[in-house]
Amino acid sequence: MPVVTAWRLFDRIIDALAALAALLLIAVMVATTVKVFYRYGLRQSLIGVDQISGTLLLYIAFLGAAWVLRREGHVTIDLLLSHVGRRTRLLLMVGSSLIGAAVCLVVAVFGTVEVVNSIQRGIRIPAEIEIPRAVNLIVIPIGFLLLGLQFLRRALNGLKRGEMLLPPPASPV
Amino acid sequence: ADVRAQSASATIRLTMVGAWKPGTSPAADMGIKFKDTVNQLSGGKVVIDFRGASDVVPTFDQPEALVRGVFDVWYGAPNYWAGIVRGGYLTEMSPHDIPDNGPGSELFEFVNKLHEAHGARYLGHMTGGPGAGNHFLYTQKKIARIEDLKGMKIRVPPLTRFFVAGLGAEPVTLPPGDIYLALERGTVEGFTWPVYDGFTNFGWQEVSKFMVAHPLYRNGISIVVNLRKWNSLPEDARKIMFQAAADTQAWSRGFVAKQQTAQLAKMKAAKMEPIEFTPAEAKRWEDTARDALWAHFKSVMSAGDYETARRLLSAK
Amino acid sequence: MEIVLYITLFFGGLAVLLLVGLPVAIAFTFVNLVGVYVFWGGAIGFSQLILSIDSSVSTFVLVPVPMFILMGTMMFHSGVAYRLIDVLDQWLGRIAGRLAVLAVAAGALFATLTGVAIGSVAMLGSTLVPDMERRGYSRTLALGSVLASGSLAILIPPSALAVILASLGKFSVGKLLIGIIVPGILLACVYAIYIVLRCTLQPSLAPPYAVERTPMVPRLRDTLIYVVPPLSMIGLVIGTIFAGIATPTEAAAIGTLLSFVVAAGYGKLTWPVIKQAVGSATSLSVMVLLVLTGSAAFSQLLSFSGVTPAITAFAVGMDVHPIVVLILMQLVVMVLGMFIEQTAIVLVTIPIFMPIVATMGWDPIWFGAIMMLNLEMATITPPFGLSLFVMKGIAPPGTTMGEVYRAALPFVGLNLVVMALMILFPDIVLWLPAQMR
Ligand code: NA
Ligand code: NA
Repeated sequence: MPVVTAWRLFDRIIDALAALAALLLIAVMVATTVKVFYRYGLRQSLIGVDQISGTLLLYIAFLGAAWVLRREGHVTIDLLLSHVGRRTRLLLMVGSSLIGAAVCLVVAVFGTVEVVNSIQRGIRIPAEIEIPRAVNLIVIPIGFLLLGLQFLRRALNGLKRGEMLLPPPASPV
Repeated sequence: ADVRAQSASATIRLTMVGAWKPGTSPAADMGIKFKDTVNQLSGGKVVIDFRGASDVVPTFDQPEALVRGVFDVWYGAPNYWAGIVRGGYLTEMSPHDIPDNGPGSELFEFVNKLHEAHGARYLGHMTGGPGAGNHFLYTQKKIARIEDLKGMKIRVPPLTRFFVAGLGAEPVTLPPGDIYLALERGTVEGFTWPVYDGFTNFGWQEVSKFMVAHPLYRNGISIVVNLRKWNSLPEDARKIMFQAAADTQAWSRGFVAKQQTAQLAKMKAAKMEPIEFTPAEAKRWEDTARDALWAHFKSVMSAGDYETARRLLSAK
Repeated sequence: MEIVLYITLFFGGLAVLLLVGLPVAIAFTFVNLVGVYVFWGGAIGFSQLILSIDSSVSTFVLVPVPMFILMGTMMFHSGVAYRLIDVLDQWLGRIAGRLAVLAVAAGALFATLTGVAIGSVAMLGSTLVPDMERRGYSRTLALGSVLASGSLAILIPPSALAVILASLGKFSVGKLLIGIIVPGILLACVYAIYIVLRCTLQPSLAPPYAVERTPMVPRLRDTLIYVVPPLSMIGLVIGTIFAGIATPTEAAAIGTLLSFVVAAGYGKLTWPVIKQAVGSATSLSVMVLLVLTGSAAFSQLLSFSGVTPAITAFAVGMDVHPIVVLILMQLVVMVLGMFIEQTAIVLVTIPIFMPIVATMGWDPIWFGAIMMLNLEMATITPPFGLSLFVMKGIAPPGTTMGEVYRAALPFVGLNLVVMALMILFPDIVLWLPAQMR
């Protein structure tokens, strides 16, 4: 598969996961409202909604992580970057992207190990609904893997074209 | 220099993390008592260093961190192990004076066996005698019978959710920080909490009205040690730790009773009223609570373990 | 001496990684990887870090954060916020810097809904900052007023942090909740006075653009159409809390759903609006939550390694005048506040502080309220206040971190002034609780 096609597929994947994260955000809002309605209106409890909402926050964070990096939406400290020349800036961006890729891929590896370990040992969450802990954990290596790949791509773009060819910064709101 | 190096190597250092900070909850004080007793009994040969609570490892990650060996000794509510040792907190339903009957008893060894299968060495469940140190239920309305709770919204921790649901009440989950306002505003109409464990520290006596004076599950702490670390300890160090566990269990009985009495006095001063059932209703209350949790245990424990647990925990 | 080494490694390492442009969340994660390896026993620490990442954000307590972000982006992209501000502008007349004053008022109102500062900052920042920019306000004034007013969420009840602080310190939760009301309102007033004074002396900060004077009748009509619905929405949400229908945490979700309803009421709930609002909210939420996964573990490692307890013990171990002890204690909270999450600060410091409070014979309510103000300030104290990161994330493109820091500093100064007033005049805290009995 040509490299360009591979990255296009990668884009599709992170777009789809970001859309899923957006849906989960709506789900948290609706589920919490429905829970209150059940409790106050119908005097019935929906046990587990809080716990699931918490889990969804974790999913939102990691399903959307790579997509947010592609639109340069992760907060960075630009105190130094905004005061250096173009070449130095490029060098720093490529370097930090490579560090970012390394960090994310390391966490992805250990995350995978931990997911397997957690399933093998049958660890459950000691909360309202005792689901396997791996249900939560699995999204962490997935998120870090994609984030690491996006960092790698960011560094490659910088090296290849001599500049950080980034999409115009996403409008923040 | 040689002498110093030698005495340093003779000292066994263990690190400890607990579910709550010392000085903030009487439950934590029991964990610290165990630590101090070990340091004392060993004459400084076995030193346990307390590293912190949820500020160093999130509370519900602590059991796994202990099993891994991030630290060596842990204290906290026995049921925090629910995710690892299925049913390992069965002594929270114990009718015995010392919930696990102490080191060497069949019950103690059984609970330890459940823990050891998951890489943890169990050293004991510390709390007051039956009825002291237990969870209790508080309501905003006066009730006379179990059935009166039907439809009421009760804030629960995972431990009491089966019981509350079984009563036909609505179990509600809220973070502890939300309980005060929820009671004040009527978002919930009751909750469960171990009275001795700093009930009035949270200011709840200002906003809650009645307390069902009949106990639910035993609270308190268990002390658990990383199994690899335990196996690496010399025999005399283990003996000291068993002794410290037994001493702490004995000490806790008076300590917890005193804490509970003090809390009850403050609650009474704040005009909270106890609800006393008839003896028959009281027994129904305690049986219902126990049956609800046993039903859950049956679904998570192996048939053999479940039978053993029931046998060992039947009242004398 | 080990401690000094750790401090250098933790903070020095983090600073270098941040300066070379690594995103904040990943810089934290890098330092955490090294930290867990050293302190949590080698490779097993890595596994434990995965659990810590899960625990740091998979909690219902954080639900208001993405909810308020979504409410803000919905109000912004549907145009509801713009029309609302436009009409309020008519009423506010010629007050200098009135939109910044409006931000403070909105922050105080919002604070009655939530105890989560970053949620509040995100909500106000995504609606008010673009508006102020459009009207030529200086960026630092726009960012600063929103940062400061957003952090009022911690000080004005409901405040989960106050509940945690009082219960750990074993003094009355109810009285502390009452005791922080006056300082909270005082702080909001000080912010407003500062903004008006500064904008009067330095009109370039908030150019006095011509407000078209709309006659009374259309103005009232506009108010009815554009102000009443969004404000009743907020009223309704506060109502659900007071009526015991929902907890503040839950009310955040209900309020967000209502913002969709209000937008629909104006016929603005179109597919492009939904797509933009939800898309922006997802992006911002991901950014904030990811920072939290990193900062939580960082804070845990600082405590586990002994750095945090050492700093705390150092300050309280000195033999000096009581007032100096008090100032040192607050200094510790301030310094920790630059780096560590507030609940963690409370957990570490309160058990060490309370015995001293007792020895000195200080009123714990007074001490607790001062500490609450300090913790509130921590969210906007450079370099690592969480609200600063959130603000950087939602600020208009091209905003630099330096601008965000400069924007926050005057308001940090105002916090210090109010804190000094509370120390000098304890009745600012104690008068209202005394009326309770
Ligand atoms: Na608030
Ligand atoms: Na801070």
